[in-house]
Amino acid sequence: MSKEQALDAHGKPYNRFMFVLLLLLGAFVAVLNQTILGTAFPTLMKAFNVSTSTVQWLTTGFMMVNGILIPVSAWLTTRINTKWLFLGAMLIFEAGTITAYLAPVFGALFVGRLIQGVGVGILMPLMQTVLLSIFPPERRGAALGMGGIVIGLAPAIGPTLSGWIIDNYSWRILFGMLIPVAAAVIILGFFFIKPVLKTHESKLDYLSLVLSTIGFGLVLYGFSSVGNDGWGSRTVILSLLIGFIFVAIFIWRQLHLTTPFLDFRVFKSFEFSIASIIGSVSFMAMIGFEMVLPLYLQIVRGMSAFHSGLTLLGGALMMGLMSPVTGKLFDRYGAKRLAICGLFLLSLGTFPFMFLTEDTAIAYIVVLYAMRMFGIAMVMMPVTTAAMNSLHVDMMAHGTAVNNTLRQICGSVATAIMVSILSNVTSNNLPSHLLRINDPLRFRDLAIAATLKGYTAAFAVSFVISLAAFVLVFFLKSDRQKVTVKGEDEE
Amino acid sequence: MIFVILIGAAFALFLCWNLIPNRMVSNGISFALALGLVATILMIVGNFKYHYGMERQTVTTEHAFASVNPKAKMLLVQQVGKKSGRQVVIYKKRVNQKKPTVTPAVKTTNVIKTNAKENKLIVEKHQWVYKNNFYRLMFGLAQKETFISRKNTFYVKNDYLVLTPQQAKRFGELAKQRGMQMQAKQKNNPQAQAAMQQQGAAYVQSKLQAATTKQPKLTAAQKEQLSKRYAAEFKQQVEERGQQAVFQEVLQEMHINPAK
Repeated sequence: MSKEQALDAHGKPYNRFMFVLLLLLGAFVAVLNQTILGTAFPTLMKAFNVSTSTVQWLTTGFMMVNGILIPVSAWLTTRINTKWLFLGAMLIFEAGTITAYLAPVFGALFVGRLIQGVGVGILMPLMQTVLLSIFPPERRGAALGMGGIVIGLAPAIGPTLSGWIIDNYSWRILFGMLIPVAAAVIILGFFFIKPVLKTHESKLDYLSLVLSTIGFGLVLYGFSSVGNDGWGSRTVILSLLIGFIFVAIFIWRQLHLTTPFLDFRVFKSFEFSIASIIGSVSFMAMIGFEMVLPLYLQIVRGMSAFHSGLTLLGGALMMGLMSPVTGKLFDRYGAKRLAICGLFLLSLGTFPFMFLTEDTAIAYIVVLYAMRMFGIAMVMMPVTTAAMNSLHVDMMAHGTAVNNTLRQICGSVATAIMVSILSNVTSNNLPSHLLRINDPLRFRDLAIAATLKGYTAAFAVSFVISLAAFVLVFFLKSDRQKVTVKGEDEE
Repeated sequence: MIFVILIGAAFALFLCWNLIPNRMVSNGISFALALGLVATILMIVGNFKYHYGMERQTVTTEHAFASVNPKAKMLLVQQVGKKSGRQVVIYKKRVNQKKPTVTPAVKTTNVIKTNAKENKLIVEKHQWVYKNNFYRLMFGLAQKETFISRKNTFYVKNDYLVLTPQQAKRFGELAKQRGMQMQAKQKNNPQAQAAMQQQGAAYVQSKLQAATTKQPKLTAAQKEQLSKRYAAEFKQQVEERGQQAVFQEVLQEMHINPAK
């Protein structure tokens, strides 16, 4: 791979700029769908006459399918020609989006979301693997930094964008606006996307596919049910228990297969393991917080969905702006110092949220949130790149899939913990109903105090997670790492 | 200002830590900046949670108020909850205000003092304000000077009725009913009507006489005008007296002691 001319897997030159642009654009519209419905739920509930717990399935189901597809993506990317995999995933995504756009009944919308989830589940890890593979190791930081715009910015602008669209247009536009963009990516992709990853014939181990689908599906389902049902519910305990058993069997099988479906040997690299863990823990600190802060803004401060989205937009833009910069810095200095600085700022920026009051200035929240995101931008992508740099190119697809699966599960754990702490602490501190009749004003004061206690406890969890990541980061090696785990082709 | 410090220090830390090639210098400056950042964050928490740099201020203002009912002087009071001992007051700020004002209940104490010498509303507003311009410069753009609580004291003379909205509603209904009854009674009583007419004529006569003694040169047309005016005056007085009588009767019926 020369720096002057990028060559694809067949040694043919191709236009790398257009390739990367289309890849990022395609992934951006896809990842946008993770958060685009959050603010639309009340509207959708009215439009289809469904309850809160039903409407939530539009996101829960999407994320589950997404999470199930990520482990599968490793096999897909090493088996199927990059061009057709990308175009296929985009087509699946487009089909799901059109289904959702036209949906006459709730069931159709739900099916559309699931189809979308399949496309997004393939596109996100594919984008990372491709970015890592087509750039030489010394430029991977910058490349993944651009990927960070997609992974960090797209989910963050989702709520603001959808709030604005819901306020001004109809919910169908949420999906309608994505259709032409995805179509353009598909048409241009036909010419500019090239098969850049080496593929080889390998049989699909169906048992692994079944184990991984059931295992990861149930684990994600279990954690996402905690918010509604609590940890003690039978649904949660059973799905987590069965899910983890399946995952354990899945991992055991992978370690004994000659050509694993998902190669867990990537964990043989200490660098990969520690960097993946730091990345996942930082992701926990980010995702749980991003879930709870809008709730505080809307429930305690009475903001509209759109305004709470706007409040968080500064931080999202910060992440988008800084990602390429920190990527470049990573290429020059490695991940350790960047991550130390980032996690320090992340922890420090989270600390004040443990003291949030009923009338803390929104300006403080905007600036502190941006400071957190500034810190996260220094950690997420550099640490991911550090993890991947310890792997040989042939292992990238597996590394990306393992890394993203771990991250997805940690994210669902963080959300589950924070939401359950929020609701438990709040309900434990809530005054009795008798007081509501006898002294509604005092009831109001106590109820607000209880709610605030819930939020600050949830933020405290986020602070502890940030601190944990800050401690872990000192285990990273400071020098630029060497490839330590190779694929079987090289052995 | 606190934002300038915070953002500046965070960026400076980011740059010094990552870009200064000499490790000793880099670590030293970064450590100092990190300490500065921690201090800044502590000040921010102090400011929004514990009102660092602020002090309590009480502003007292005096306002007039008017009755919610154009016919009878009354303020309405509604208890909030069964045992809270707290209440909201319904009043008007000006006589011609269309919809009456309801005092807020949240973070507000509403008190009514009867038997006062004049009708007035004293508002005591408690708020957090910055101690001096230094703190205002530091934090003013972030945390605004915030409202703590308010105490509204209504001083009410004896001519006012203080009723709950339910009482006021019943009062209105009863007054209308009794008024109609009284009118009907008068209509069916030609003697009383004649007496009233006589009284009216006497009132107009005496007033007119008084006017002519003051201004002997009144023309016939002017006298005509005046007598019409006096007649109207008398009618109004009678109506008011009738209404007062009705009100008294209604209040007695409702077992409410007017402040008298």
